[in-house]
Amino acid sequence: MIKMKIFSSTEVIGDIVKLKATNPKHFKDVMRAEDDDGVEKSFGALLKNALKKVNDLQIKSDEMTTKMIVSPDEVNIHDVMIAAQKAQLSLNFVKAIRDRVIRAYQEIMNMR
Amino acid sequence: MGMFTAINTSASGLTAQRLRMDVIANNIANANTTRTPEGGPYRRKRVILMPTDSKVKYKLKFLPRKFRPVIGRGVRVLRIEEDNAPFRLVYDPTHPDAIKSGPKKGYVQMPNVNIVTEMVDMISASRSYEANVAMVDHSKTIFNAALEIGR
Repeated sequence: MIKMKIFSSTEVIGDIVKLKATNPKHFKDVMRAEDDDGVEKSFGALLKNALKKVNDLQIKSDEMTTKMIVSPDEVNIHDVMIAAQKAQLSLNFVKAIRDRVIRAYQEIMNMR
Repeated sequence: MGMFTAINTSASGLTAQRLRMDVIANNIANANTTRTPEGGPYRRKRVILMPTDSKVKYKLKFLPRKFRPVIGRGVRVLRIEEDNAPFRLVYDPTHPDAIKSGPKKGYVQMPNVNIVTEMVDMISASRSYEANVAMVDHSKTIFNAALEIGR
């Protein structure tokens, strides 16, 4: 029964596939598929998750810059620049989302 | 296909081209080295590149088409191997590393590095690097353009 569901290419259930991919007997490394398959419990949790990822990117960019200053031989210059760009892009993204959410909220509040 | 796939792919390209430049610089610097710690002259080295596979591999044989990786994830360096071309022979009996006896007496074995080839490789690596940098830039432009939707 479970096999039938996987083989249909139009309807693939997220959690069953995740089970196949993260079972450690199925591959040698202990790598896991990405944990989020888009099924979040609430919008608040989704937002918090997104902010956490943005924060992680900022921290990583900071780390790379510090590493470059302290020991410039270990890290490639393009990695530092790309980490900084990723941090900036994700922050822009969060800003845009925040603007939309606030605008939507205000529109609803103006509905008298 | 995540937000940063293109940027990550280009980053792997940048790293690979940097490594290639390092190897070329090493070749050029050692173009006249007749004595290495292992004995014999310096052998030209080169970089073998191959595409990266994505990290998660599914063991199911009949994977639905959605999960077969179509877009690659970039490039990685497989190994740095030595070129097996024969050494150059230069006649110089006064050189301390000249061959002492046999049919090639008086010849010195010089590295099989051709400076012109190395310069061409260097230009190629440099242009690849610039192309990858342009890719990163354009990915960022696309991203910012998408954020303008509906503003």
